[in-house]
Amino acid sequence: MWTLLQIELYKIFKRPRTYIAFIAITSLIAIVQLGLKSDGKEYIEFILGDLKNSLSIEGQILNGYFVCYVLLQLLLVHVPLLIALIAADMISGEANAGTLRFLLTKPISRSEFILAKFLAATVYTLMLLIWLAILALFVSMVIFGTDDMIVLKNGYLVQLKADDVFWRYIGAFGFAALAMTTVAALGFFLSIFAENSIGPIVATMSVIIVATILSTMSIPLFNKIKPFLFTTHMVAWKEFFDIRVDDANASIKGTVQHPERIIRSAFVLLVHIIAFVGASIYVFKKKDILS
Amino acid sequence: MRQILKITFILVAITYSPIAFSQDMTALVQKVKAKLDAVNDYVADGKMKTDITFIKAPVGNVKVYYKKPNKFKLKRDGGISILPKGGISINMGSIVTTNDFDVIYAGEETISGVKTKKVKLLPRSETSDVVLTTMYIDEANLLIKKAITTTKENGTYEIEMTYGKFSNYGLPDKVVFTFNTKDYKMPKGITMDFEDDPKKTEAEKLKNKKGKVEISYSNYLINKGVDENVFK
Amino acid sequence: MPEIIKVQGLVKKFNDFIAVNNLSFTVDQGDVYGFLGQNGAGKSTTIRMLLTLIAPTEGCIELFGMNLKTHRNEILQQIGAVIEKPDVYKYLSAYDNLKLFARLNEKVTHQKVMDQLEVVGLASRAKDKVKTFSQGMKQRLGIAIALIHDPQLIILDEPTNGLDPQGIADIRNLILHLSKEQKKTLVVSSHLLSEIEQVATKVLIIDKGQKIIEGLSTELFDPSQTIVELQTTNNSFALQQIANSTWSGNLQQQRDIAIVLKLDKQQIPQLHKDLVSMGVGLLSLQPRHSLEDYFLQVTSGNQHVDAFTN
Repeated sequence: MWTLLQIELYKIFKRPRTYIAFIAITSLIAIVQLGLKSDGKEYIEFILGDLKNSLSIEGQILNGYFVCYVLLQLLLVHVPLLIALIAADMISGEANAGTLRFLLTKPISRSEFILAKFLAATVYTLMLLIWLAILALFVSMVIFGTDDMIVLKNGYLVQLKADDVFWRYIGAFGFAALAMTTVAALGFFLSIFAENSIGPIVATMSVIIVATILSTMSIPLFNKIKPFLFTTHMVAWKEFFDIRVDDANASIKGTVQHPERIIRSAFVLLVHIIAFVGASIYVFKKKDILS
Repeated sequence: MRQILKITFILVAITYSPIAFSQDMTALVQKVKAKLDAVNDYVADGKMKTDITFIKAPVGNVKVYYKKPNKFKLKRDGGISILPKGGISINMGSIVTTNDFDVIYAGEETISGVKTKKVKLLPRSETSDVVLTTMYIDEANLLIKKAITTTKENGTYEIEMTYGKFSNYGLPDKVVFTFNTKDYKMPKGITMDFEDDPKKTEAEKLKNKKGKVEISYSNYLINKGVDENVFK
Repeated sequence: MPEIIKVQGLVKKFNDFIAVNNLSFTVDQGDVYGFLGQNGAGKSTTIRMLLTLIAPTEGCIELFGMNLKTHRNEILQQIGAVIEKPDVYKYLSAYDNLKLFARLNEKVTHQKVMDQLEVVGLASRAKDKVKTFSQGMKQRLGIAIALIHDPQLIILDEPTNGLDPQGIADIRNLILHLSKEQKKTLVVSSHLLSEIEQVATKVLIIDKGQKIIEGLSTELFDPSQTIVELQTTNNSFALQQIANSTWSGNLQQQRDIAIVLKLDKQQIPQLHKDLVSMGVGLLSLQPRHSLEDYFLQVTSGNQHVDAFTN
C-alpha cells in the first residue's frame, strides 16, 4: 500500500499537468496581492461601502490576515476546478493512456489500488492547500503585516484581535482541506466511468459549478435543497471567523459563534468523501477493464 | 473616540462663552469652567468598548491625549478602532467660536442618583448642524454628568460621564457615548455566506437599539506636558 | 507436464453479446501456446479474463493449480503480460517506467533495471522519455516490464501489432529464447497464423468466442495431415455416430454448421465409406490442404462483419 502510494505520488508530481494548478494559484495570488498592495485602499472603501459613511474605522484594515481572507474567499471557489484537473484524471487518465490494464495485471488488489490512488489525489489536494496557505497567509503577512482582522459577515461586522486570528486560519485551512478532499473524491469517483479524462473533469467541474450556483442563489425553491448540497457546506470554513459576544456585546477571545455549524458541515463532507470513495471501490472492483 | 472627547471638550468650552445665561446658570458655568481650567494637559490610559449591535468588536486599550485649549488625540494601543463617524462631522466648533447661541434653563433632573441642573444651548445660526445641546450639571461638584446633542445630519448623541478619583479636575473615569444606529447600512452581497441571515432578528432590534462606545479610564497623567507631535 | 493454465467452460457476455462462449483449454508448462483468431474472435477477452481485467460470466480459471478468483495476487505475481499496445507513461523515462512497474511486483535494484533494459536493447535510451520512442522500442520496453520480475508464465497479446519486419523478427526470436533458454511458459495471441506457426508448440484457434481447433502444432502443421469439414443432414446424429466410432480420436471441436475432423489425407476415402455405412446423410466433405487454408476459410466469412464490429 505504501509502495503503491509512493508510486502514485511519483506519477502525479512527475506530470507537467500537476503544476498547472500550482502555477495558477501562484499567479492568481500574486495578482491579487499586487492589486491590493497598490490599490488596497480603494478596495477597502468598496467593500465597506455605506459603512464608511456611518463608521470611522481606523487602523490597518488591509493587513495580511484580511488579505488572506479575501484570497480564500476568491480562490476556494475555484480551487475545486484545479483539483478536478488531477482527481478526475486519476483513473480515466490511466485508462486513456492504456496503462491501467498494465497496472491491474500486477499483483495488487483493486481496493488497494483505488485507495492508494485516492490517497495520492488527497495528498495532491493537501499540497495545493499548503501552497495556498503559504502564499495567501504567510506571504500576505509578510507583505501587509498583521493587525486586527475585520470580517464582513452577512449583516454584521466582526473584528478579531490580531492575536486571536492565526488559530482560526489553521482551522479554516483544515476545513478547506476536508472540503477540497470532497471535491477530489467526487472527481475521483467520476473518473472511474470514463476512458478519457476530459469527460470526468468537465463533469466534476459542472457538478461543482451548478451546485455552487444553487448554494449561492437566495431563491426560496433553492433554499430548500441547499442543506443537501455539499457545496453549501464547503464554505463553512468562514464560521471560524465569527466570534461570540458577551452580554455587553464585547467579543470573547478564542470563541467561535457557531461551532456546531462547522461540525455539522464537516460531518456532511466526511460522509460525502466516504460515500464517493466507497462507491468508487464498489464500482471499480466489478468493472471490466476494456481500455 | 477623539470626537467624543472633542464633544466633551466643546461642551466644556461652551462654558467659556460670555453670552447672557440666566444669572444662576452663568455662575454655575463659570465655576465649572474654572475647575476645568486647572487642567492644561493630560495623558490617559483607558479601555474602549464598542457596543454596536451589528459589530462584534473586542475591548481594546486606548491612550488619550489632551492639551489646552482644543487639542485631542485618541490612539489605539494596537489593533483597529471602530467608531461612529458622526462624531467627526458635527461641527460644534462653529457654535463656540461665534458664541452664537442662546441658553435656556430647563429645570432640575436626577442623573444616576445625583441632582443636576438641566441647561439647553440653542445655536442661532440656520446653517449649524447642531440643532440643540442639553447639558446636565452636578451643581454641588461642578461636574457635567450628561450632554445630549441633536444634529441635522447625524441624529442625536448622548454623552454620559461617571466621575471618581479625578473628579477634582473634572475628568471622568468613564465616558459613555450613545448614538442611534438605525440608519447604518451594512454592505450586502459580497460576503458569500450561504447561511440564512442569522442576524435578521437582531437587525429588527437594531431599529430601536442605540450604539454605545464606552471608555473606562484607568489612569490620568495631568499637567505633565504632552508632546505636540502626538496631535499631528 | 503440470498444467499452468486450465480453463473450463469459460463464458463472457457483454449484455446480450457473447464474446466468449463455453471455452475450455489447458496450457502445460513449457508450452508456447498460440492463441489464434480474427480480430474480435474473443482472444483479448479471454486473455483479459486470465489476467483478472475482466470478470468471467461463467466458468472456471485455474493457474498454477490455483483458482484465479481466490488466489489472484499469488497467481499474478507469477505472470508477466503485455496486452495489446504496450502503453506506459509517456512523460517518464524508460528507466522510470520499468522501475515503477517492477516495484508493483517486488523491490528492484538499479542494476536489475539496467540489466533488463540491456536485454531488450534499450539501455542506451534508459533516461529518455518514452514519448520519443518508436513503436518497436515501446514494445520492447513493454516486454521488459513483463519480464523483470522473472515470471513463470508470459502472456503476450498481439505482440507484433504495428511492428516493422525487423521488429516482428525480434519478437519471434525473443519468444523462442524465453521458451528454449529460460524454459518459460508463454501464451501468444495473434490474428496472423504465420506468426504463431513459427513459434507455437500448441495452437488454439477460436472464432466468435468458440474453440474451433486445438492441438500440437507438430500435428496441426504436419503437411501429411489435413482438416476435413463435414456437412450432414443431421449434425448431432452424425456427431454421435463419429464419437462412437474409431474416428472419435480425429474429432475436433464441432462448429454450429459443420463437424471438423483431423486426419491423414490417405484416410479420406475410408472416412467417406464409414460415414455412409453409419447412415450419416452426407451433404459435403471438404478437405483443407493446410491449417492456414482452414484458418482462412473459417475466419474469412467473418471478415466483412469484423470491419463493422472492430
